[in-house]
Amino acid sequence: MNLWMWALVLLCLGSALLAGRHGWAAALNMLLGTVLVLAMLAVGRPVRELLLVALTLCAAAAFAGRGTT
Amino acid sequence: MNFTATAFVTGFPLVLLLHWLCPPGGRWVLLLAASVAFYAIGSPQSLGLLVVITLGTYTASLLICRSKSQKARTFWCVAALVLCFGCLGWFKYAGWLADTAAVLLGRSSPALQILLPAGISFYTFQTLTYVIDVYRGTQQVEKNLARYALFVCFFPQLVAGPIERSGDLLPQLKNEHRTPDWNGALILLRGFAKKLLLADAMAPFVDVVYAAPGQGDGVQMMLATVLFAGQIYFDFSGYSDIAVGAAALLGVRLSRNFDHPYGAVSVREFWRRWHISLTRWFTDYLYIPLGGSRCDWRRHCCNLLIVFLASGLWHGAAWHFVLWGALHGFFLIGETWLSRRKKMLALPRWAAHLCTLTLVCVAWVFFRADSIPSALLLLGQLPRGWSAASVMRALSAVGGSALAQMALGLLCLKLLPERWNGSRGQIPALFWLTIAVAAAWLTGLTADNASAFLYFQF
Repeated sequence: MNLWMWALVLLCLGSALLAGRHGWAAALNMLLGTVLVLAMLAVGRPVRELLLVALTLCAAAAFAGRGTT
Repeated sequence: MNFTATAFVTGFPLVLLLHWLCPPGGRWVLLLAASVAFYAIGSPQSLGLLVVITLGTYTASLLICRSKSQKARTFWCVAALVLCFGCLGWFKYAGWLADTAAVLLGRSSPALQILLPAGISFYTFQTLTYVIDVYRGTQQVEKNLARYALFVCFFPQLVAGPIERSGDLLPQLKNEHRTPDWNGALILLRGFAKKLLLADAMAPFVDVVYAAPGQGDGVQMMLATVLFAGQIYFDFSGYSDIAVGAAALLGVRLSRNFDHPYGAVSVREFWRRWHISLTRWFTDYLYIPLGGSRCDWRRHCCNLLIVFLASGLWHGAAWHFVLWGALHGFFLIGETWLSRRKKMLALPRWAAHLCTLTLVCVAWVFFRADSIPSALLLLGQLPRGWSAASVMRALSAVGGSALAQMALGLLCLKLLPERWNGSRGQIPALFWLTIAVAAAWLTGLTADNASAFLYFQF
């Protein structure tokens, strides 16, 4: 992946970890996530790579969101 | 109908939208049309049999209701049993019985080319519950043929269950004022995740090892069996979750088919948690009528064995399925014998759990193998070639990407709630899980290797 795409992944990860406590982080996470998914598809990254990135971010967001209301 | 097929993935949202836009009085008609359409798209050649079973059991139940003498009631009930078991026997078991007879007589096999209709084992059992319950007087007869047809072919559970009781499902389908349970969306998503992220990632390695029995080492065989235990669970419980979730979105509550079966500490408990609707069917319509456990010890053992032989045969027309059922029957007889002597109490919980898992996995070998000799060859390779190098070889054969997918998929399912608890903090996780599921679905679609649900073949 490109450097800027890695940066996007890190931003997604950071916002996912904050999403459990802050509504703005959750919104930012999904906005950046949409950009990341579209970018990965646009540059022709393998779908399996997208799958693993999505699962990692899902695990991070689910972990951070545990017990929140 | 395969839930991962494009027809369902694109068609279900449309049906859902139309269902809730439709006036309440007409919703059941839409559901019936959608059910017939989904079944016809998936298996058009089997639609005729579904119509025959529906008409046959509908007529039999009406005649049972109208008959004044007990003899006539019994006659019509037996006629319905003959129709259902006759169709099941012909389409599912005729080829196998002909092959077995040919082997016993030393002749060449007649090679009957009979197509197995999708979901036949499920909908024949469901219609039988209705007819038997009407005969017993515990279920009111449904006089509207179209409503009865909807009970038989309600699309979320038509081809692979859960096998619903008429007393549970018919009133819900008739209720015009039912409301959707939006929690169904989460159950549906979890179901797709189980199937596409976990079961399908486990399948390729299992297929390779089980296709060449006796050729690999013990590590490969053990890993393949453990992965198959996971594959069949995530495949079938994933299917059940999709069925339950889709029905919940349509305002219909289906019964739960799985309750963490691998957490069981005895084989008896395993069967209380695995394919619950089928276990309930066998308990109510075979085990209890045979006398259940309220008889002498020998008869009780015999009843257990009959039920599990029938369960094995239900799963497939082959001797290895019969042996799989027989093994579970013997495990239960052994457990009953031990518990009578109070020896089970001496076993710590973790040891009982480990014993149960081992017994279930050994039985899975017979279930997954193509034949009994293949299963014995696979079990025979178990003591061979145990080394760190063979462990690494087996893991690399599974593939780093598949292992990462399984580990992350399991973690996500563990961390996410089973039901929506109103937590807004979980929304990003659900967003990413949806993307992962969509990516896995696309991978299967583009590679044209999406495996069908395992229980479709039953």
